[in-house]
Amino acid sequence: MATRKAPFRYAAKKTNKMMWLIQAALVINVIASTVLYTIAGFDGLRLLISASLAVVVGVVTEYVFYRSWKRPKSVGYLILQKHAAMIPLMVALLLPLHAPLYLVAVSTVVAVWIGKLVFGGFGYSIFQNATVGVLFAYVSFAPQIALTPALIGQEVFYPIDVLKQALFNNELSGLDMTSLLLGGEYYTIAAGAMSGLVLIVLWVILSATRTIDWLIGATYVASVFAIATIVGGTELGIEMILTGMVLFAAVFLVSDPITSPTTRNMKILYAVIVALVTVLIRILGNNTEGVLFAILFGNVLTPYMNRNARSGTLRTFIQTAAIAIVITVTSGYVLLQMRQPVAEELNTTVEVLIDETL
Amino acid sequence: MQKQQSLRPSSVSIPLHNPTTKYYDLNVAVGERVLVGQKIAVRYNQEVRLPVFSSVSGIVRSVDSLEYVNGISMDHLVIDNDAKEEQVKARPLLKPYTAQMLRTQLVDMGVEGLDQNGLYTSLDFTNNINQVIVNAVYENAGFVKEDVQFFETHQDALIKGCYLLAEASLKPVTVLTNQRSFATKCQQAGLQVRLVRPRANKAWQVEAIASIIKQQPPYDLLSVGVIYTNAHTAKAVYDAIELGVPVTSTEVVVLLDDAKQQRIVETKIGTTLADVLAGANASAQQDATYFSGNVLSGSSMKSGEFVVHADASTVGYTSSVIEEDVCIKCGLCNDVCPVGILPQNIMDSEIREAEDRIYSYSVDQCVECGLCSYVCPSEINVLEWVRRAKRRVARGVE
Repeated sequence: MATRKAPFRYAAKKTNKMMWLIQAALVINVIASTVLYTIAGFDGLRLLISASLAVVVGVVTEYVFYRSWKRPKSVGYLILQKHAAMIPLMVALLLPLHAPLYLVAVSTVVAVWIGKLVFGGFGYSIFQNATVGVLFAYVSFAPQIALTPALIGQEVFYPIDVLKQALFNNELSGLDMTSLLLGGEYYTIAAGAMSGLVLIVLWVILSATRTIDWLIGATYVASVFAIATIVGGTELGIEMILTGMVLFAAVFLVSDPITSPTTRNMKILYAVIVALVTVLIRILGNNTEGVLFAILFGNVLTPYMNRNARSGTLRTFIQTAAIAIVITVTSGYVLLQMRQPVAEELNTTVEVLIDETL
Repeated sequence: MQKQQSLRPSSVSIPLHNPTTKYYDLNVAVGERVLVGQKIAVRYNQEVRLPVFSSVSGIVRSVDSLEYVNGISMDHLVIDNDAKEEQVKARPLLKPYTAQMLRTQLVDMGVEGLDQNGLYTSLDFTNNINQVIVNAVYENAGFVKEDVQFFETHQDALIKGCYLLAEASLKPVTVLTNQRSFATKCQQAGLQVRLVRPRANKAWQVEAIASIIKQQPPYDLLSVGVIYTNAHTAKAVYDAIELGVPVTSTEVVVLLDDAKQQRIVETKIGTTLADVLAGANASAQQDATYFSGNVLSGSSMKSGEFVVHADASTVGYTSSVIEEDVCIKCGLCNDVCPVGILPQNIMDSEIREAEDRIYSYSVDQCVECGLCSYVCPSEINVLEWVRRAKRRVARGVE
């Protein structure tokens, strides 16, 4: 006879099951991207190898960590209960296809050790683990990860680079949106962001099974679209979503429950802020892709947002939605004002200065 | 949901006292014959004296000690049922009624309110009462469906019971219902009605009460002058006043491990768990946890040796073992909380013993509905953490 506290039933939704569904989605993404890269004429199998390597390295890292901490855990426990394979898969999918294998391993170690384990392991992270590892690779190994024709053996470019150049010149990128949506033509900055369609399907499945909160991903994508639309029209909005990691982030990174805020209202604001920073970096910043920095910035704000969260009534929900719309529209409008005139003003000021000096 | 015929147990064990009224005077002796509805004892504490009634006719066998709530044993009077169902003479109240007469009759008939789990209050008219609310949907567990059969059979009794409650309290009575036809009939009888949409995972009754009393309902509704009771009590009020019979039987939901096996059993008060399970075509389980009371806020029992009493709407067992996982901060508990006090954040601060933060949350508003624990995907008992925070704040205030 056992006694316990109420409740005697739980709503049937288990954390373990949710995490396994996310890992299944990641594996599907790996397989789909491998096929699509092969179709596009790249070495698709490389993704399969780097994903497998990342998983092995990630599990070994966790094992060594717990061992060195004098709390040894079995490999089976780490994979089944602590979901040791999830973060390595994300790291492999976020790095470009040509990333050297040693770099995949190093990023995985950084993501798992520094991003996840030092904060207490699964469930306790402050920063999205995979983002930490991948940003480390981008910041510390910039030359090794840079896209050089010699590395690939053929003339390739990232769609996001084309977009960035187009934004500088204040024109549209001219990329084929259908190919970006379906995948199998362009060489993407993140190996897992090959096909927008695959990610949308995964997002629908994960949302329908209530594994991820649909609201947060939807708000993120909608905000990116809205701000970009105000700046450069609907075409720019669609380009912003389909090039780069925005859809991947909507499915796996922004909607990560552990590092996002804990109330519905704050989740909406979080998604809007991440979207705003994404677009800011893309349009004004030096970096090409703003998603990872934006998510890290959002993670920094999460504890603050949790502390200032208020109850989720209809009234606060309407207030939050209103604030979200105001942020989106205002930032879009400000960006629109800042983009073109800055360059023109700079030119005129220089001309005036030259005139005055003469 | 399948409804069983009324159970006829071979013997019943009627609780003689409970944790709030700890003493009792026995009116009958062992070996004496009692009838249905006969007053067999009076239980009391300093202020109140409440009668205890026999639910069957038969011979008094003994006084046994059985479990009442989690681990607490109480004296029970064991009566062998002779199945003759002989009733004592009914004592209906004669018209015209005054409020005081109604109140006295309700106390004399032992109608205190069935299903006392959760937000429900007792029929305590001594405070300043502003409002009486009758939940005519069913129980406060989101997944227990409304008992349509009960409403169809006892519709008139129910409406009259609500009307009598209004006369006894001299205050308006609001009926919460989801049946339009029933709502119309209540309105014709001069009752206020609020149509609600009961949904799983929603504390819809808290929202309904909040909109009626135009403020956030506290844990103790009596403190704001609200009597909140259910349809079964309304029917018992009718029975006690118009028919003059006390509560001797109750409807109990039998919840087994498999949700499909859930049944409503109409049974005598004092029926043992074994008899109830047999009536629901189930057998006792060796390693299961037995519980009595609401699924979300009832109490688990140390033994299988307990009986159905008027306060418990649900009995059952569960063999599932809690596999508590790490909190993944999904925020489902924050979103489901009917009073919006952010249980996850409270739990987080309580684990870290961050007193400043605990005080900044309105933990005293918690109505202990238990939904935060129920929706948790990691099966964490969030409510227990909120209760700890409540105790910490209460200590600090003193």
